[in-house]
Amino acid sequence: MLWRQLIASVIIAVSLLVLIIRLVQHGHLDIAYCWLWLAIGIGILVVVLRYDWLERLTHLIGAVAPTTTVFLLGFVVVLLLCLQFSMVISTHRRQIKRLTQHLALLEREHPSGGRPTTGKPPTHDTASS
Amino acid sequence: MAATLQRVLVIMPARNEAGRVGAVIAAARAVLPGADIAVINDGSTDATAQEAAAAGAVILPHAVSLGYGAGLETGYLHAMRQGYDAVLQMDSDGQHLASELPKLCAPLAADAADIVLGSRYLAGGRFPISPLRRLGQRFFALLLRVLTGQRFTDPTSGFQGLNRRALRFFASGVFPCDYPDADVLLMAHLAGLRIREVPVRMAGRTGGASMHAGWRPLYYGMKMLLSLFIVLLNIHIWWTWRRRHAAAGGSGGTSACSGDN
Repeated sequence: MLWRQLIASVIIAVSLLVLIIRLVQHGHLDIAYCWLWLAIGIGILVVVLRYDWLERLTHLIGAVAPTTTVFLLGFVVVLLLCLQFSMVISTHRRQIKRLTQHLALLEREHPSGGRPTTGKPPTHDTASS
Repeated sequence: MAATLQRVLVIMPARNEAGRVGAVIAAARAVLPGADIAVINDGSTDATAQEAAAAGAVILPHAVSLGYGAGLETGYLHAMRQGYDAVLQMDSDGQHLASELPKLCAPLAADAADIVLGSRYLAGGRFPISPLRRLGQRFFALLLRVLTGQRFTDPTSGFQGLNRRALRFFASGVFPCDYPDADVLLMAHLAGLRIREVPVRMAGRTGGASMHAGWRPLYYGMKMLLSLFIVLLNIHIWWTWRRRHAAAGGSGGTSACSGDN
């Protein structure tokens, strides 16, 4: 691997890892959904720093060039991400249906919309406020 | 200075704990007759809610299961909204003994701590858990000691007491929804909350499904390491909270923590 290729790949991998950590830090990405992204970032770093592993894997799966293996791995990762999104969407759809049904029943039992007629309003203070 | 704990709420997140939760509520009511009890029914598919309601608890229903941490957060929001002075949290499966609740209450009533952690190991006790989980507990206890300078013997204990100050912090949207353990203790410490461990006895599970079953301890370890790292990255948030919410003492008064109310 050329030095320029190596440096560019390391920069991409580290930038991806930093981006993921920053997204989790600011609450834009939930910890439960960050693992596959972290694995991708670490995977790129490993492939760059241990190019001989990639060559061995290429030989193992019967591919001719390491680039073929990289594209194959990339395709598999994208498929896994799509599968994860499908699973999450399915869970959310089921939860939204259940919540909508729950709200409908509450609306029927409390025509005021379920809003409390007495008591204090909910607290919405934040840690940083 | 002693704090006034006139209104104490015992919260119990529960998911499919029918056959156990009623006895736990009855035991808690017998020990702390002056306290209210709220069960957060986390999308149970059995008779958990009916059994808890029959035992005299307020039911906070989750239409869908949101997890243990979200259940606790619902309890904190309810306690804040209803103006409770303190919250005692315990499991609804009988693992946390109601007879130990006064031990959590005492440091809060004496204003000696903002968070009281019931430790099953502090008095040198042994508890039947897998070696992998015990190893994890020891590792995170060591990590917390390095990060906070404070010794924790049971950082994964969910048997806790919180005063109003800790409640305000945890109800502010910072509480993690899955496996809130060592990361919560670290953020609370950085936010200036006083944490104290007290020795308690615990029983083994009598049934139901543990949230640490199967491969979950492995995920728990990875998640907790990342979560602790994120807590450290967000240190400015905890320090800001610390500056804006300086410790405020209470005044003496009657306590709902005493068993003769």
